[in-house]
Amino acid sequence: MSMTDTRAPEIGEDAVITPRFRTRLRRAVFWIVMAAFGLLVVAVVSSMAGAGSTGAPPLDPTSADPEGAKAVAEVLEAEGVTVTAVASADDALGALESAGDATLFVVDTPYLDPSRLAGLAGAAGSIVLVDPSFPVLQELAPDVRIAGSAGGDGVDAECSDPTSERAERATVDNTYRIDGDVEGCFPVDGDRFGVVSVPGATPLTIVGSPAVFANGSVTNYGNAALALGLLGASDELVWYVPGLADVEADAPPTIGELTPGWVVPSLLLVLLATVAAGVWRGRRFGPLVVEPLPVTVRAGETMEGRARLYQRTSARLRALDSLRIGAIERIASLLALSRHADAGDVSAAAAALTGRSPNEVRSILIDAVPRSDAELVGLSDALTILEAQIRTLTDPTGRRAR
Amino acid sequence: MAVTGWFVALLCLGVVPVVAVGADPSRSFAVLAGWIALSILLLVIDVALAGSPRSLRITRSIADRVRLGEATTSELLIVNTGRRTVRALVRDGWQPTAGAPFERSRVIIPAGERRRIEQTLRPVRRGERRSEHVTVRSVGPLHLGARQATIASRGVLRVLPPFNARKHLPSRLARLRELDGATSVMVRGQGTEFDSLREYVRGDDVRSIDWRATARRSDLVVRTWRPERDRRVVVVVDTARTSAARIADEVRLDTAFEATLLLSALATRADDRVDFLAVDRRVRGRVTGATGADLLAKLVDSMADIDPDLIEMDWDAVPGHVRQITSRHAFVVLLTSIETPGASSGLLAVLPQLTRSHTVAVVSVTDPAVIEARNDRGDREAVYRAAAAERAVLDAARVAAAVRRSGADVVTGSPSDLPPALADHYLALKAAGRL
Repeated sequence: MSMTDTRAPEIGEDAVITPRFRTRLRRAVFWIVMAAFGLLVVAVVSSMAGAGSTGAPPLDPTSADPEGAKAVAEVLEAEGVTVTAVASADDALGALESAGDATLFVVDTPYLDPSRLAGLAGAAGSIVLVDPSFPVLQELAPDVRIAGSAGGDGVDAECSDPTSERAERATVDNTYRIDGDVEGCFPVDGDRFGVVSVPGATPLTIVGSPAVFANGSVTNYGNAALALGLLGASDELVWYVPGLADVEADAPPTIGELTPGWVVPSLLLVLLATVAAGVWRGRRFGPLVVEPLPVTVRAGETMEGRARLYQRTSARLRALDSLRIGAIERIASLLALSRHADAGDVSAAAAALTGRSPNEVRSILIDAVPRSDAELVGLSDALTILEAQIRTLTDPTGRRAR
Repeated sequence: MAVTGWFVALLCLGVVPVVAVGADPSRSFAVLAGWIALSILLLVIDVALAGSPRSLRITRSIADRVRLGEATTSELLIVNTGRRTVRALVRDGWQPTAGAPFERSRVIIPAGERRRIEQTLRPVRRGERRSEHVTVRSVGPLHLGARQATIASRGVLRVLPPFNARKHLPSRLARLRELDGATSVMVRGQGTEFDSLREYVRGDDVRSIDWRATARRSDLVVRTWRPERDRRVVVVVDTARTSAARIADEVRLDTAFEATLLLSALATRADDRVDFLAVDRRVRGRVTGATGADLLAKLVDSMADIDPDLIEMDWDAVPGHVRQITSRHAFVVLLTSIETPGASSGLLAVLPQLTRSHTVAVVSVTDPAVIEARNDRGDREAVYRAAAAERAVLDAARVAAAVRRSGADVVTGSPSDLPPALADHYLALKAAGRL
């Protein structure tokens, strides 16, 4: 309790607990090396896995991906077919007009605008359509309806169309149901067809499976024969893979175009500031301090537990007996009865003092059995009243109130 | 290394130039990158210019002990041995219950100078509180960043039991003086010792007149007596499982310590020798052979870091411990709990051994909440609770009866009443000469 005791150990440089940056770096070298090695492994693996993919759209005539169609395009060129690859409807129209009576090969990508197809169909000699969506079918061939996937297995041609017949068997994925004088080939379950030919001013052939043309699967079954037969029907082929250029230029401006240029950088700055604020508030001011705390237990837990136990099991008589024993002992001491007096003696003495009937007092103190909680509460109250009465009557100051 | 709120503000301020350059996204991005680079450059410069917290030397000065409930001042002397001024935010690593203020101290220490930091500690718990280190965050001149280091520096503060029961001491000491021959009120009992002869004054007990001495002189002479002294008082505190119970916001063990301190203060004034033992399965604290003010100092010191242990009490060893302290007749006080016959069987088994050669008192705290629950018969739940409370009271009464049959006395009371009750019991025994 005095201020005299002073601990003043000499503190040396080694008293600083926080390691220096150099020390920390040296300790972390192992983990840094491990992390660098891990990154290297990830980079190598991903570059090997992603080697075959260049991100080109599917069925691109210049793509060597498994999904591309460079194989078919090359073979067609070698066979003397002029392949003109275009990426927009305008270019496709131009190519068709300059070539005259060319075959138009249309790959349905999300950029394809169905309303432009009718114009293209007028200029083309024939059209091959791969895996068209519903709006495209509505526009070009209302008699053909989408009939779901057949799973991509090989299916026999089973029709009189010469091209299909030559192919004999081909991969069939998406299938179509047909009405009118449309001819279907490669049937699945009898009424769904993998390849559909729609006659008209511009003959239209719909192929449900892109796998027929893709590099990865063109050699399966008779896919190659089918692809080359369909696309090499005339000397000119316009290979149309709809791209970004098809998005209408006069469409309403997108949200991205409407936002001012500073919004994204500002958001980025706010994000950085949030991170900095996290570092500011999150930096711990020195190591955590530990303190072992003693155990304390609330007294009275056992009493509460026993009370709930009585109540849950409706142990009314047992509960009442506890109250009675306590009351009888207190009454016995108030009446100065001998320690050997039993409950009957106490009851009789209490009745004699209060002037109540012995049976009533005996019922309260000994005999009555509570059959419901209400009776228990009633008997408990009766006990309290009896005890209070005796306490008043035996008050040593002689006051006999009540 | 740490950043401050000013650095965050500086980053946020970058919105102004980014918006100002307007609609062109690429220029906005360029400005953004420039601003971030500028902020980080300023931060690096600021941190580089901050005084090194590693160059600080810390010396502590603190009172080594304080009574629980009182405040004490902890001093840190910080010397800056570096070449730059250190603008420091200092955190002293006291354990939470040492009651250090939450605010960190700010101090500016120019190079080569020394500053003192004072902190008021208000401990909230008994025992030994420590601070193992001091953490210093040295902020740069621009207040953007800071360097931080933790410096080992041990501080120890021993928090002693409060001894709130000392407010009962004056009245008990007055009663003790009344027992003494110094006052005219005489107490005669089998155990009181003959002190001296003096002249009769009115009010003296005529039975105390010494007729032989009166015959030798012309005046009436009375014998005076004084209470017996140099008796042994052995206080045994049970620190096991049951002492961890918290009754009326005070742990049973703390009440036992309060009662021990009051009894010891009283007994040492009455020239009795007090020995103290805190035991469960091993001896947790022992004070023997001390008297006067030294006794109380040693007691509180020994009690300071005793906490309840969640193990069963080893009563069988207690007679042996008492025998080690004294082989003479002594007043043995057992501060424990008497709750149920089952839990007290160990105590009841060894009591006869103790009562054979000593005057024994078993002292236990009663829970006022139990008595309250017993008298509350408001509704159905209350009646069941009253029944359980009555059962608890009856169990305790059975144990108390068994203890009395073994020849020991029982002293019970609520946490606030128990220390004076034990003191009164001691005075009654002393007056009756039963020590």
